[in-house]
Amino acid sequence: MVVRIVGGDRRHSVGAASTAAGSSPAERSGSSIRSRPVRRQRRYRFTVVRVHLLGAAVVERDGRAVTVSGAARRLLVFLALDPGPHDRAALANQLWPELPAATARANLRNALWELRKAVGEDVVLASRVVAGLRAALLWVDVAEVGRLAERGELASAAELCRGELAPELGDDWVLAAREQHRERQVMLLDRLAEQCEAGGDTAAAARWSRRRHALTPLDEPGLCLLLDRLAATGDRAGAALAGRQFVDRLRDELDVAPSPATRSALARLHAAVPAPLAATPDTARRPMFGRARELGTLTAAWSLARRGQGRVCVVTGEAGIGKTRLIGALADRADNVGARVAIGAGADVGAEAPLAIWHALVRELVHDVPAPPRQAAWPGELARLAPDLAGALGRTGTPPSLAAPELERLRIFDAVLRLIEWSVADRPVLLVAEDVHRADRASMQLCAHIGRRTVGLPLLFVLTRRDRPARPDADVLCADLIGRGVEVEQVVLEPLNPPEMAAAARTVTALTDQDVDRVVATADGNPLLAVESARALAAGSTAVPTNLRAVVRAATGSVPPPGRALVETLAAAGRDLSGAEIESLALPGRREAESHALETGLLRRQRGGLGFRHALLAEAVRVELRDPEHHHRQAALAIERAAGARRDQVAAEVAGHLHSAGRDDLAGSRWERAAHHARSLGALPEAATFWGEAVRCDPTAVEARLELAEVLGWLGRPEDFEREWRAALDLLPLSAQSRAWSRRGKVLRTVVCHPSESLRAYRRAAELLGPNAPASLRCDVLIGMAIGEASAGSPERAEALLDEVETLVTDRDPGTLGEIGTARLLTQIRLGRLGRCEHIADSAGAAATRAGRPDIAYPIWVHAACALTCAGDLPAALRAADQALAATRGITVIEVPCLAVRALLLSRLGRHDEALAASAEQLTLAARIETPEPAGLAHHDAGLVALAAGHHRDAATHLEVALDADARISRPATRLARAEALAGSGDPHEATAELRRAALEPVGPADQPWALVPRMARVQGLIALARGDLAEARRRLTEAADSWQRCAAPAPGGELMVNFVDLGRPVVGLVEPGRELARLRAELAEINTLTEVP
Amino acid sequence: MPGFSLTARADAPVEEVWKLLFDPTRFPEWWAGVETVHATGPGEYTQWPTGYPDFPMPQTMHTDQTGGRVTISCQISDIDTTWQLAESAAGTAIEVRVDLPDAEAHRLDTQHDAITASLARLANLAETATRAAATNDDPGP
Repeated sequence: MVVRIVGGDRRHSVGAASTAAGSSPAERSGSSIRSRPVRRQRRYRFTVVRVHLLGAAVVERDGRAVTVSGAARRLLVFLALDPGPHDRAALANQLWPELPAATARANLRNALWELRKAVGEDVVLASRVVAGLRAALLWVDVAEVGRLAERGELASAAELCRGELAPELGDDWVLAAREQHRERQVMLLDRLAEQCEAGGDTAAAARWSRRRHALTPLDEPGLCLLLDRLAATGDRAGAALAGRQFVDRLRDELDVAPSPATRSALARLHAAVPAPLAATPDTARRPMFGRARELGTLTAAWSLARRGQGRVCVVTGEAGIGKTRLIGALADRADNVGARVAIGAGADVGAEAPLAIWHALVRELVHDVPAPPRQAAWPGELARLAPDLAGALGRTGTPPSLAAPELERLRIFDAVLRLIEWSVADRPVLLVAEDVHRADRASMQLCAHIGRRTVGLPLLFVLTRRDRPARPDADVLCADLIGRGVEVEQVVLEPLNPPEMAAAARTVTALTDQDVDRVVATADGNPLLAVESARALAAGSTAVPTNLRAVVRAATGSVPPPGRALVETLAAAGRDLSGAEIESLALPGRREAESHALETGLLRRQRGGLGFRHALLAEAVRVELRDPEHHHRQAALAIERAAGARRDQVAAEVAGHLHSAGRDDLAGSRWERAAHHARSLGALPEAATFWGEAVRCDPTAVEARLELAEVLGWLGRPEDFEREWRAALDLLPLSAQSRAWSRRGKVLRTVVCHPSESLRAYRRAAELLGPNAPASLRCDVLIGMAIGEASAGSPERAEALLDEVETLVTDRDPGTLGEIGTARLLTQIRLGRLGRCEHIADSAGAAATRAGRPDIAYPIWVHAACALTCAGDLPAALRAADQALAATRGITVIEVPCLAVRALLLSRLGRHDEALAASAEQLTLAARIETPEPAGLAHHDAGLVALAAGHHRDAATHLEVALDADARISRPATRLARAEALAGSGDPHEATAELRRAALEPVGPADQPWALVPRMARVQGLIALARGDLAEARRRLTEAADSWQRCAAPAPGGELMVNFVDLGRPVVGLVEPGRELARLRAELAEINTLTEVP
Repeated sequence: MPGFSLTARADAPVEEVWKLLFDPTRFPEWWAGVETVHATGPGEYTQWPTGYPDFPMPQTMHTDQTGGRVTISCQISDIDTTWQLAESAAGTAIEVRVDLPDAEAHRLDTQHDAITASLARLANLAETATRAAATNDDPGP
């Protein structure tokens, strides 16, 4: 047996530099262990070896994988179950009881040697008389379960119980330990179920009970509890199934009948009728009527999905028609088979942070998934969404942001996708995004991204939406998914028919037939209204309310003031409020207020918080509010107070409530906070909206206007950018305008990509720099000017500026160093000193990498790779590309362009197999990115690599996909490459058609038309060759060679600058006339050889 | 601003016309009044008018991706000549627009005549290249 090791939790492992004492109890007590000196004295603060004995065997030393097998493995398990010194002779006898003592001792000696070699000498106690593991350096999951349970962290303890204890071993001592652990686990699960039940979370109680039942499948009290709890969730079918299976098992395995207690529980199940409303806890689910067909559709989809045929379901229906109820029934079914269920919905009122639905979904998942591998980068990336999400997965700190907000968004999307992929690794997942008709744009984009990746995963992704108002992007999402081959089930909920409505009304309370008829007539097929009308009648109303407003009026009319205030603030909040948020409302007599509010029947308790049972009920209360401003203000302040360190995430929501409260004086700073947060998530439309709100609150806020201008620039709205920037400038005195011009310069050199205009802005900034200007601003201006000069001015001036900057820079932060490095690279390229680029990249790129700033490092390496390619030093270029790749591993959005450079350089070096492998990896990763652009580019690059490798059919296919994807490529050049591929694959007819399409493509400066002419002639030659027309082939290839010779070779560096500015992927777009000529001459020589063959 | 537009049709596939139009070094073969061209860099070249070997006239070639046009601008006279190609049956439709600055208005007729002749020669040259391709017989082994 071999134990394969995976990564663990970094928090529990430290390097050798840690200091505090950590000797074992035996050493401290002065036992004989001291008689054997340890060769390497290491002292630790924390655990260095982690041993997982439950389920899959895992051992880790200092966070690194360790392999322990055979006898050493048995020894490790024994010692890990009981750390500390053991008598050596007794230990040998315990492990090898059937062997003579001398042989057993020899086995122990060998096993100890293996174990010391594997986990480290410092962890293993070994003397002549004792052997063991040092407890202070050891973490064992079995012991941790006990520790957590004692501390009351029951769910965490249960999460660690992932399987049987050392299932691969069958020794008596293992069986005893296994049974002991099983008993502890049963108690743990019982306590958890009881806690959930007491808290009203019947679904969770049933889930824990099911796990408990799985541990003790013949235990009747356990089964009875499971049956009752399943019934309480409304899953009587599931309960009946569990009961039947239990009876069968008893008969088959023990040949006995169930006990009277079990028979009684089964009878209760079959006789169960819905309790009247007044006696029903608000979390208990009533039976569902009239949705058997729809639930059947969803269940069938779930059955397929959980077997790995992932798919998407879209549930559509009018408000109150039963979408949430239907999803609840599906979630119960998924939950009852041990699936992971996560449900998220956004707020219903005012603004909310981007990705609000996904905040909720991710939060549910991170607290439920196993610990991810230590080396995985994605858990840390989730900190961008909210730091505590990464914290739940054992990661601290937020990774540095990237310069481009769009990349930020894509990084978050990729991290969420990886979380979902991780969450389905050990069990199927039901993911529900509720009410997407009100979702923010970024949430919708991420829904689409995840939906596209469901194929092949045990994942059902359900979206619910109202049929009104129209939400075109939801329709686009469905069409897009279907177009990409994703299975999409559309479930439309129609109004219930009268018998179904009557049945639904009767689940609430015992009504007369006449009352039922009145309810059915009033509700018009809407089950929510039917149920609420029935509730009103049950509560004493004499007339059937005609609408929900009348329902809520009747329900809240007699509620005492604190309870009523709570109901009204909840309505204003537009979403459930957590326990902490309700606490922050500082209501007098909170418990009583909650009790009164719950008695209205409008609310339900959810995970310690409170919320309306349905969004329409909240809407109905909202329109009845007597003092909405007061309640919005209350909600805003409570939400903000309760958020604590998470204020950024609720800032938009808080600002929206303050605006509704008429307090724009308080809202402005919250809008700014919300805008910063949205920008950090790459949610630019939301950031623009929030900055716009901040400006509306304070039209004189210069900073807000500048930020707004910048975001508008990112959004590709140059006129709006100019307007806002000018407005900001007008608010500033001349002496303070330098910084505004500097910011303008930066936008124009990064976002808008207008180098000459950027240079002009920086020059103006320099003119306005006062003698007392901050050094940081002076540096920014000089660096910006240098980059402008290097790109669109004089590289000599750029050099001088950079020299001046070097004398000013005292803060060697990686951002500044990266900017300087980039400027120096561009300068050297413009000056034609391409060979110097490697040295600059080695210095600046490595510094940025060391500083943990891959976003700064990789463009430096990529630029250097391009320059070195131009210089003809392909090995050095490849080294630079590999440095870029190493710096970006795990950050897909910036890893992909580095892979592109590597693939194309390998192709240029003739290392085609490696090039094909790199481009395949590029394709795989690019397909994970939410936007289609990287995938289109990857197909383009894969096409070029395949073409160079002689894989013509693959090349033609990839290039066609790239063209169809409308990727930002040179379309005429790509069509010419595809025509070449088609000619190479023996299809001259289609190649000719493609060549003609190339001539009809619009040509821009970035297409480098001067290079297209000879390429077109060459492809004509290759087509002629494919037709067997050697004379025409020779004529066309000669024409191409003549054309290349007539071309003026670009000035050194100049050609590269064109690429940098216009293509952004210079290695891909690089044109090298000398290389083209050499290839043509070789092809002509080949043709001449052909003609000479007799 | 004075100017004019002309159209023509070449009985040649669009790629043949395209190559002639995008390669300034071949302008002397069809552009009336252009005797010599020397490419100076991507998108830039210098031409010498017929009969004026000591009179270099720097030109820029600008391609407009949106409109699918290519514009030749003379840096001396500020005359812009904008070309656009389209498929027409088995041939190519050629459209050209010439804009002269007011200061060059007196050259309108001369330009009209020159571009008319150039159009015809461009079409003819492309047709010749097409015929050459069609009649090119491989001597074979």
